[in-house]
Amino acid sequence: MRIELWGELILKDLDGKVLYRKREKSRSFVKAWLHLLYGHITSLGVATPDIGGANRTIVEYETNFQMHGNGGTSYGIMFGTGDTAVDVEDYALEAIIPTGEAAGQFQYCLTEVSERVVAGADCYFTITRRAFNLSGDNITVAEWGLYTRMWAGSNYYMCAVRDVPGAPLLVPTATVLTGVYTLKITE
Amino acid sequence: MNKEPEEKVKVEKEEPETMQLSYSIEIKDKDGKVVQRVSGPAHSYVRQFYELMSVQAQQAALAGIIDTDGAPQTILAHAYNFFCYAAATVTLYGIRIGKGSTAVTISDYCLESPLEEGTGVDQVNHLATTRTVPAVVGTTCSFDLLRAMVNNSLAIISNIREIGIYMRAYTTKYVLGVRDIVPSLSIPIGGTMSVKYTFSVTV
Repeated sequence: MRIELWGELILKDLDGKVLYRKREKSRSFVKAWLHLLYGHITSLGVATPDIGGANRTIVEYETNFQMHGNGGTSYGIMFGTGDTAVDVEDYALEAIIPTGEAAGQFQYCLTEVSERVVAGADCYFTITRRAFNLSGDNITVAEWGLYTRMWAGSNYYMCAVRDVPGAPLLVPTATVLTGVYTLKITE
Repeated sequence: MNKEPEEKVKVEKEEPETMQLSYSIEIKDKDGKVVQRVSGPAHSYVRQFYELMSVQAQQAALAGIIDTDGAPQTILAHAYNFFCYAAATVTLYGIRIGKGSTAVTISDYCLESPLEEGTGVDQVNHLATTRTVPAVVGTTCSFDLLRAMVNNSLAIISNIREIGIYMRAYTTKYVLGVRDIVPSLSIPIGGTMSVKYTFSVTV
């Protein structure tokens, strides 16, 4: 059994017509994700960069790993415009697309985490988020990733995954971009 | 002086995923001499590990998670989820070894035939877990979790075929997170078997 992470980007117009769809294996869990797992496995604090780049000593906590919910640009799936190659020490997207309807902004919906599904030799759950481009202009998405909550005496947020697809994706105005991560174990 | 060669077994390599787990086993005799080493990629995350992950990610209770006794439990997001840094003698959670040889399936919920704590036949003394802190080397970040088991019984313990990790879940529930089948191993009288799991992410 091994863990696989798959990422899928789907672009639709506002009538639901699919304009683009691509699914590929992600190779981009970054350092903070492993630190959070370490914190829970050992119950020992470990200095971990938050999404602002400041080191926080994370400890095990109930809300750690949270992705589900209306996390704004704090937790859940995020999109960005930076195209620098992924580094295991990345602590945030390079240039996150802010939330809103002005130029260069996405209207983010909540991130939804499914219940786990067991199907034959696979067990998986999905993390899904939609982002509307209502800015009146094109937005080019060059990176996307996954932020989660982490606890270090109070709530902070960390980057678990950052992906830079091979080619940037042009997201026209009046479209909706959906990102889906599937985390699964498989034989 | 007659020096017996130390046996080394390397299990197959494979293309790494972004999140990996590997194991390394070292067996020493009572004088501390290494008599056997085995290492390889772990194939071994099982369903409960994933269920804990989904509970934390979703922040919602999940019913029907099978504990190490085979009983379904409802697990909530909790600080204790995944904890397996066991102290000496603890077997409810932590790295365990056993004699079962049935192939791993995603639905395994315990070791098939785990060795219990003690000094009787086929029993071992479980030492405290140790670890390394996460460190980055090149494109990989990793840490180790290590536990040694001592054979203080009066007989060799042979046919050890499985290793795994029991994890704590939602206060006082315990679930199997990882199980691996390994080549047949033996711990000499007075000898030690050390199991190291390496957790890593690679971009």
